[in-house]
Amino acid sequence: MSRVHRVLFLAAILTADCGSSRLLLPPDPPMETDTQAIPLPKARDPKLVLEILDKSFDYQIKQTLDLPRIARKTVGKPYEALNVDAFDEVPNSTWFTHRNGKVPMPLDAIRRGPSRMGCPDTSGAWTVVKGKSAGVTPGFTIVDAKGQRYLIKFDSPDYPELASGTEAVASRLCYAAGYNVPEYSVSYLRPDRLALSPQATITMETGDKRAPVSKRQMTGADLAALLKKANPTGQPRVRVGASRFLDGIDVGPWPYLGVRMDDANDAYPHEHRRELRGLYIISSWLNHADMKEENTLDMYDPEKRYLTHYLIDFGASMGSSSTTPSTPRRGQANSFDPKHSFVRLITLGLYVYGYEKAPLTLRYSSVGYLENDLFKPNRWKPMYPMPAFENLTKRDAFWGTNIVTSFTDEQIEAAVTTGEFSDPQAAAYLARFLKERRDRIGRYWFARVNTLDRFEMLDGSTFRFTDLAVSRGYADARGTRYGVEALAPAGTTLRKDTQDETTVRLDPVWNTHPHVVLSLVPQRQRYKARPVLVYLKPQPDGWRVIGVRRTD
Amino acid sequence: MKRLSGWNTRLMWLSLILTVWPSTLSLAHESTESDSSRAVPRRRIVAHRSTGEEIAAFPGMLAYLPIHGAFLAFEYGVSAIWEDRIFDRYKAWLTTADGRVGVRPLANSTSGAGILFFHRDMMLKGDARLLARWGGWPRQDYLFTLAWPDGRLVPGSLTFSGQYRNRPKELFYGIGPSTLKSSANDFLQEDILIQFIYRQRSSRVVAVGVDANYHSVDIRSGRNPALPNTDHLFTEKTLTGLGNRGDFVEGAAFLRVQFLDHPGYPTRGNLSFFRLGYNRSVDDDAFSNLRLTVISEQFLELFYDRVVSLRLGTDWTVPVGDSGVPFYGLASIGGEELLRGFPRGRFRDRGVVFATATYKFPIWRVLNGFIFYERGRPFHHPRDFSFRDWKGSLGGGLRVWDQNGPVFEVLVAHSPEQLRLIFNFNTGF
Repeated sequence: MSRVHRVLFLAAILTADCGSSRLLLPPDPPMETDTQAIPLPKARDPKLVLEILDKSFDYQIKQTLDLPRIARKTVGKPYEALNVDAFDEVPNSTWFTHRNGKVPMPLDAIRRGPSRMGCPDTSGAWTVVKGKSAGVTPGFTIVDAKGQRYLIKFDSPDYPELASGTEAVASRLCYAAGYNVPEYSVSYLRPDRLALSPQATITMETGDKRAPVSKRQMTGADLAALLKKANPTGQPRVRVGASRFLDGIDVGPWPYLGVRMDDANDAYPHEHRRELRGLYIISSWLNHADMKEENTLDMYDPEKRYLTHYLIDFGASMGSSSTTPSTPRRGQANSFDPKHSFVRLITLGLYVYGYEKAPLTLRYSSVGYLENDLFKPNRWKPMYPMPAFENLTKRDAFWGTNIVTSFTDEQIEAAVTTGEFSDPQAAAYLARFLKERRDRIGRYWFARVNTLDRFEMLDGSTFRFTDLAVSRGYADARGTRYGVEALAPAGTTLRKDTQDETTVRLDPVWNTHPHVVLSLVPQRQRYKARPVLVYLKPQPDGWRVIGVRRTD
Repeated sequence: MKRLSGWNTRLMWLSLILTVWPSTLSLAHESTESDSSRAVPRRRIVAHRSTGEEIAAFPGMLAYLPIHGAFLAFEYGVSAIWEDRIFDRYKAWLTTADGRVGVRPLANSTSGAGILFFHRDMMLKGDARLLARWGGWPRQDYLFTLAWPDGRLVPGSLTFSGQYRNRPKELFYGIGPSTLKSSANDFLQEDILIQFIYRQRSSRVVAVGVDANYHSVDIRSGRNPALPNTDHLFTEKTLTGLGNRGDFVEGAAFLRVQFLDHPGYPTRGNLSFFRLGYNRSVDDDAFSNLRLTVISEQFLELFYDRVVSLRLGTDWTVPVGDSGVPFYGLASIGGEELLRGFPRGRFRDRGVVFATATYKFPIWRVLNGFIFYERGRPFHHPRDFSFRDWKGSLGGGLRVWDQNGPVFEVLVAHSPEQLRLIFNFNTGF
């Protein structure tokens, strides 16, 4: 390393933690509200190729030349997420709402998902207002008897139930995890009850490369052709995937990097948002690899005048790749993975990745290709690089793992029922896949982070915490002890002990301090974690938890 | 005022940037939008690091800026191809609306740059192509083909082609395996070739065919001032074919056998080609000969799309009776197909034998890498066959392919004589 590099490196380390070393002070970052009225933002329309190249090369080089970032990673102090409160938690926002991760959702709520209107009303006619024959999946937009607008997508005739079932299940689980998603459901179309709106338009492939698609008025023949494509055997009742149009004005996808400059509520760069970093864990669970900007959406509420941020299109997740089953590669490598290509190039192809060796076995075509043998929770990759995922820290991973492992077997099974798979064995196979994957995530990440959470006062003087690894079955309670150290604000030790219980009796004499800090760390075999600091403040009626700081 | 020295100027700019830049950052973080008509919330972006860290990041940012600029240009170029379909638009612009008539540019290191004109479904539903290529000026190559694919005119496929070729700097190194690179001399070769080919597929695997050709060759002094001319070094007696204009008619039969799993990226199977032709000179019988070509390539998947292929071949020209074989009609190795580390026509004789081992491996979905090693030797007679004096060449490259085969390839080939860079933009968009 040259002298200049050494100086820069030291400077970066010295400046790495400026203004954030308040170890013994309760953390209290001011949180930005994101529901202030803003003008209607301009619609975004990012280009996929630019996004892939930018995130695969340009952004990677920028990160490599970011000396403070490298210095921080080297010393184990990466940039932590910005939008966390005094409890190291993400407040509810237009991005995320705490659901199953905080309070277990009833099975009915899991099944219902974000649904307010449910499936399209099948009691009356569906009026087709827009057709789409171009693209991967043919489909159309309908207005049902209740006046609700839905996007109808057909399953591939070769893989019936795959896309519609996958989308219904994955979107339910993502919603229960806390994200905003549209209402996806499995529905049944009756071709004889379709009506064509006189104003209906259709987007067609022209075959002319100068203008590959064209839009024109839709005719009965177009509708018949679409139906023939999707329902070649002419069934009187056709299974489809239906997604209700979101309320508000569509202003395009949200960017993965930085903020949306025309949204004054957007204060936290997206790559530093906890819920987007932690989404890595949820996406890895659902194998939701198709994480391109196009699969996100900002909706503007014209009355309240702010944006709500959605994740959309779950057809390519779990065992599905929309119209075909997934492949062993999905989740193992980016669609264009310079690192993997480079490794193959310099080894002249002698290095073979696991996904290249894996056979593409399909047990049930309705749920697609499901495998967990290759799945490593920290090695999972989306199809396209996502900066927030690359910034994942252990704290973010804990946050995401807490959500994923909060799903019980019954909740997963309830979500799977919404896929309406005709073969119960296939549904059971999908549920087993999700449970096994959840447990792999739990076992991996809970072995690397401090697993204590749910800090609360049982009464005025008894403090309790929960060891998520133990309570969710990823560690043995009998082999676990807890190191507890009480610290005064000045850093002096008030008490230090190792115990089996998950409660701590707070000494009344500590009331003389403005606050005390409990440093808690689980102790297990082959497990090492850094303490979590819980800030407690004496109140007239007893102690109160005023903050949490994780040091992983 | 005294002018600042170069270093002082640079230091002044650096200090100015270091002073102003952090403050612009904080301004960006705290800037407020103003709108007199509607109350707009205060714009605030929470910074993920301190001003100190921003300053520490500045050198890296400076280093990144030119890279970023280059990437931006690259990204927008790729985006223009993939998203805005500029090549498709370009192709469409060069093609009539019904897609029947159009022109395309061509480029490769073998023949230089050129242009292809096509007119589909014209005479008796035949497809016409006119190809003109120019390279290493004034080398010229004009090819006209009129083809009727399977069943359009006759049960099989029928192709008529006419070609004019003018290569004023063809190299001749002598005959046999022991010629030296330093013995190179040059000649001009002008060819007119008229050809009829009929091919009948008996199955997806086997195709047989016949072809009838008229070939006129004229040899004159080469145009390379740096090399001696062939006709100055040799005479008609010492080099068969020199000084004579040759006119030939040829009749040949061929067989093509193809057992390949994927024609674009074969991993298993075999591709073999046999051709036997009788070549008779028109004016007299001095250069009549039989020509036999046999090439067979076997593909073997080692593991997970890593493929080894072994290609063996021979090309023999056997004179009939007392005839000789003109030097320009001899079999040769070197060039873009065989022994790529040597220039075209580097080794000539009545017969050549060659073998190529290629290992190819996937890099990305439509990109594979390959390395090859090839050996070959010219022979005067089969009884001369020996394992001495075989010439070797090795190299490797990258190939972009689609389901029909390679679209673009670039390779480097090395031989004891030289290192060659070869590229081939096969489909010309």
